[in-house]
Amino acid sequence: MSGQITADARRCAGCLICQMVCSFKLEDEFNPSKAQISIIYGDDCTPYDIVFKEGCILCGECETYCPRNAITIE
Amino acid sequence: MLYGYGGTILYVDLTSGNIRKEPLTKEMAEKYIGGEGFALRLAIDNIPVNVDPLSPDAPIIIGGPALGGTFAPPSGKVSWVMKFTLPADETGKCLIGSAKAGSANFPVAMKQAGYDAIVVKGKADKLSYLKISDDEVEICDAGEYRGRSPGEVTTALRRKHGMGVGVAAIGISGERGVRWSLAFQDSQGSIGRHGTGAIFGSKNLKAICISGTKGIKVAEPDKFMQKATEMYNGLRNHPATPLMQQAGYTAFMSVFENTLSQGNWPVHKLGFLHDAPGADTYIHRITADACCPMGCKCCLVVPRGPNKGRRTHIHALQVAVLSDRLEIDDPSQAVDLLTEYNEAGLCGTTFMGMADWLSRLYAEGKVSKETIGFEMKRDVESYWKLLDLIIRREGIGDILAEGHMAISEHLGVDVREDTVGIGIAKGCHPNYDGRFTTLDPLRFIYFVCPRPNHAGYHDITTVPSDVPHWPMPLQSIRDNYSKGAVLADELESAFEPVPYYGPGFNLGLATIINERNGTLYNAWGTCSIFPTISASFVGDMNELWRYASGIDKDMGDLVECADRIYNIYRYLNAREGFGRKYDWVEAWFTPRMTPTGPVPLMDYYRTRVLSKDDVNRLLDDYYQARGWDIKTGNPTKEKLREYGVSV
Repeated sequence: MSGQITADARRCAGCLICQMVCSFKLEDEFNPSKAQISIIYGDDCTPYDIVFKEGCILCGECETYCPRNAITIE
Repeated sequence: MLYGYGGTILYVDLTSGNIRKEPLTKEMAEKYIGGEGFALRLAIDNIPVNVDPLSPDAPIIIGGPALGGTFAPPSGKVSWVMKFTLPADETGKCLIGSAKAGSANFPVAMKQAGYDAIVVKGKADKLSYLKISDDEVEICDAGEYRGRSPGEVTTALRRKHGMGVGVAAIGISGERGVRWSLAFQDSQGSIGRHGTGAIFGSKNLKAICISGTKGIKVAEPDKFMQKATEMYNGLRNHPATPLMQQAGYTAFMSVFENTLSQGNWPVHKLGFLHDAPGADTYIHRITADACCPMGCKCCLVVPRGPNKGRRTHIHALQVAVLSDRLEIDDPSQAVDLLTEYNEAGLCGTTFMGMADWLSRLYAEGKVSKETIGFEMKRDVESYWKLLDLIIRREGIGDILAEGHMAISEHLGVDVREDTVGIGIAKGCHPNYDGRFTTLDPLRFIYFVCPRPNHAGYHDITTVPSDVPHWPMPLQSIRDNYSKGAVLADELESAFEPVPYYGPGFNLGLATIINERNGTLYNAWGTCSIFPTISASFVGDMNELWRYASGIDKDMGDLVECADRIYNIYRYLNAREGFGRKYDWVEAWFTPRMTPTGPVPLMDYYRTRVLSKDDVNRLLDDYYQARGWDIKTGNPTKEKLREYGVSV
């Protein structure tokens, strides 16, 4: 698959829904450590960055489920 | 294999370093569900009767959410059960309470590491943090974090051990044993304003840091995802969601003015001040508990002044409460003060209650400048001085740090007789004043709950009956309650009005339905705000739990589970000497004078002023419907045996 994935961490509230649906899609279990998306927190303990790992298949689950539209796949 | 669960109960002794693990049994899951249910059940055997809450023998018991670590929306609530540190009266007895804290990482990491409950006791030989990473459990040196705020420690441990770790940490006031200090879960949710910080501190425990990679498998994955998605979409598309995402609870300031009112200002001033253009500049970010599409937690920022830019995490509504309580007209100054006590790990409700009371005593000439150590005016400068003394535990601050009974004895003035403050319940300020909110089921819980608190017990009546743009007709309440943990005949009884309350419902019986719902949500680790706004109900969560765990319960089973857990909660406190005579908030029976006139304690629809006799009859109804002894207000031996508790 191909595509461009972008994320706006300022919109992110850190709910971890993206990690849950990602790991469920890829691993058939809920396991944030195996999710291909992770959240980096800043000094104020709020999300500072959203990082995608090499195993991301651009399936769009994180985009679909993100309640704050912080993720876009084009 | 137990689907949906971590599968293990972890025991840690900080003194010896011994680690013990026990498998979670299916019987435990079926009887106590998880979260608060597990923690309270474990408390029976692990909290010694009459133990000093600051001794090594007094454990911290952590109940992980039954639905935590999955995509259950939302599932970020952890229950922390311990014997708290604020004496309830002159005898020095302290209650055993269940504090609930919501956040994102900790509840998920705890389950992912494989733990459904954790029991921590003992005392480390130096300031330490407990590091749990899957099967590895280690007591680590925390010397470098001494004096640091919960937020700073959380950030430091994330950088050291990975961004996904869950962290519970205390501030300097916990290290110094302030009896109303608290801990923070992931820096987002506060844990136990009755002294969690001091209990951590007494164990030389600066923080608990947990991470896991084991994953959670559910019993019926397709059905689970389908139901979770249905609930998620319902929440995401709820009319309140865009407002919550933007401003958290402050979006509903005008709805909750009465709930938040402290009586010093005209009630509408709260909404006016905090809804004013530019007022929201103190809200930096909204954060969410695990799998919550809305988000209610706030990261605040000091907008102006020498501390401009300083940040802290708290429900932003506390800015309004603090402003009214201590008459601070500038929200920036209120946020600044709030940030200071929050980062020190102090309970804001208790601090503002004490500062309010002390400044009034000083103004009335009942306490001298020599006693306090400075001129205790009702101004921001005085509040900062007082806060500094408490944090440093110097002078009057050292006595205030010991709690309400200690300062009452020192001053010769009993705080429980103060009727201008919001009242004292079992040795602590309740979060709300029942005179402004009315005596609804949530506020009645401040009388009867072993730990007077609101966490998990919000329900539809938390919205006042007299908000002009949010009417609350009786039928809406009944419809909402009918979807709770209630049997048909009980619903009928609860909605039979009694002459000693008001129209609509019998408060004593309605409160039991609320408590049952709250108990179940606290066991599943889910949020009580969503049933409050009729977005999801007990039945939804039960269905999700069934697909997660494979445990199939009907409503009768759920009622039994909830009552089993709550009876144990009450029993734990009965054996500490608590009972009916402690189920009282004396201040609420004197009308509170406000700028717009006196405000008495009334029924939900504000049709009757409630007397002490009325409330005693409501208490009778409550104990009787619970099947407890009306005189003692506690479960009978027969009732406890019914739930398998041998006494």
